[in-house]
Amino acid sequence: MSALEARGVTVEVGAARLLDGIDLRVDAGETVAIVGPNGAGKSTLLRVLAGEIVPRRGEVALKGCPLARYKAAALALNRAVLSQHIVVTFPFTAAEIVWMGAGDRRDAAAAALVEAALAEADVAHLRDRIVPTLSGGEQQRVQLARVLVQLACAVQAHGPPVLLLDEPTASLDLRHQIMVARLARDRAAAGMAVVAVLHDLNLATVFANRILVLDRGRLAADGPPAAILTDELIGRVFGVASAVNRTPPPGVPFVLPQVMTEPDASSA
Amino acid sequence: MTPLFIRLRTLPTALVIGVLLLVLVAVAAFSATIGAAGIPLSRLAAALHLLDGDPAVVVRDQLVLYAVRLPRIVLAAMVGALLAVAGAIMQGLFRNPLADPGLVGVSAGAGFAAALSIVIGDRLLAATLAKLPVEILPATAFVGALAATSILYSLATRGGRTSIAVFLLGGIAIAALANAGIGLTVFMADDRQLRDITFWLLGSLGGATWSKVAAVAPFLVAIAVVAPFMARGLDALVLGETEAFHLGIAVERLKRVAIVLIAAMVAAAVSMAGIIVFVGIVVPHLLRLAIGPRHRTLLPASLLLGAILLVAADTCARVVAAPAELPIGILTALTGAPFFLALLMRQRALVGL
Repeated sequence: MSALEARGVTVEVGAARLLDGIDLRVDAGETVAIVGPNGAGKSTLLRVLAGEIVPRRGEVALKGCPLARYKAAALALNRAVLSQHIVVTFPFTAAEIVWMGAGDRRDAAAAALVEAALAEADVAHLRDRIVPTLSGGEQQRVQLARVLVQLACAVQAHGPPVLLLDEPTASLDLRHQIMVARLARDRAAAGMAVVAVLHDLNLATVFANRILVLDRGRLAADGPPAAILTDELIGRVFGVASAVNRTPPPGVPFVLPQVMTEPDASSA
Repeated sequence: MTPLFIRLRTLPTALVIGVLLLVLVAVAAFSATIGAAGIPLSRLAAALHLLDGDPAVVVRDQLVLYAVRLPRIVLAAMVGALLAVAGAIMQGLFRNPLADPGLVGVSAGAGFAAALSIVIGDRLLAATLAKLPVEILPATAFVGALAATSILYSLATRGGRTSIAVFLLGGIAIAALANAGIGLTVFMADDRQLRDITFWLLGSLGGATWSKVAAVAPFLVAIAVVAPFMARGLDALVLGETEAFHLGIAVERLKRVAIVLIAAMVAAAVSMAGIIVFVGIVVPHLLRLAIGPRHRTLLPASLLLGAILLVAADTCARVVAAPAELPIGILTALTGAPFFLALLMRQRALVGL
């Protein structure tokens, strides 16, 4: 049984088809990066996997059970989501926001989970600060800590959950980008399935052991970074001429995009 | 971010509630001594059977107290509590500290429906010479408040996102429409109906009776029962509707319950005391500054501070222009509007205006 399985997921808004028959299986222990150009349907796919959007056709199963059969409370104990750009309008402190990840729990064990998450997301020193007064990156890490608490509570309730991340590194500095990538890999090592939308291909290769390339609502490629990221694919999907290089062993591919391809080259 | 600020925020809920409860009792006792027939504190205790006193004086004081003063104080406390909690819930629902049922047309919607029922009901019943039953007003006010709240919510929310700009502008339009409707009913009304309608426009607790208290009480009981179950959901909503869903909140159900509750509370308050604005915005905002925004504490504290504020305001309304009474709606608007402006200036970066 896969942690997360999408079968023939199709999403349409008006005449536009945002996702077109996506089939996808993610197993426990995998870290999957969804990449693709703007408008490829990355965030839409993540929102379908999270249960926010009900697809026009197809369905998503979480731990073998269709998403539609979960109630919101049960879903929260089997998957956690970190969205982009969460705006907090009331003067909650960082600690109060992080506590929200624990749901109704107020026990000492939950307090320990909150402390661990505050430290792990590097926001322990911000605990009493008012969230709307923090910088964008600090706020994002506070939200990350909240999601870590939700994950830990889910582990205690129903075993390893699924973690979905939408551009988790968008407003973070280099050190914290790597921190998030490491956190995600740790969680996967602990048996969770991790799926993240990323637009930085280089971060995706560090982050994920499997990359899913979306192009105009369809899967263009799916596999380990070393096998997927080729000059041909980057030219075809992103319209950028580049030479994919390798780091010294273990030989992680990296991309330095330099030149836009000609229109005829991108359609070739 | 002073240390005091954080210390106040971490006070136990029970202590906050306890202190507010004591203040409410003190303000109510003070209010009971004030009025055309003064009852000094020394005689108040005797009239409430707490002490012995001169029997003749006690009987006279009790008459004033139980027939006039107490129902008015209790009604003021209940109306203030309802308005403040309705404001707190509405602000949580819309994630917007500027939301107030009185500002965005919910109160006006209730007032319009009530005014319409006065004029139309009166015409329909004129042939039979029957008097318009008092119970009809809360019912029609409820329909008006529910309609205004639902329209506002569906206007401002698209695809799970609530637009603050559309919410405020839409609320102004709904308020304008409802006020135009009230103007129209005033135009259609005869002298006697006009007097009844004017009551809605200005807001007053002058006609308080024990039967009105009994009519409002169920609403207060309902909110006291339901509110604790909404606290976590309203907290989570501050992150946005989708994030609240991710955290396990049944968001659609929470929104439906909140809208019906807001409409019911505003309808109960408006049908008994007319349109009283700004209580719903001032009280939760002061409390968020003092004890933080967590709804588990904010909702019960709003209930009590709303009661305190309106009892105090009604006492002022009885005193400042004695022997005449200042309509309380005017008093709260006079004091609340400057507060609202100050709030707007402080928070305009936050609400993106």
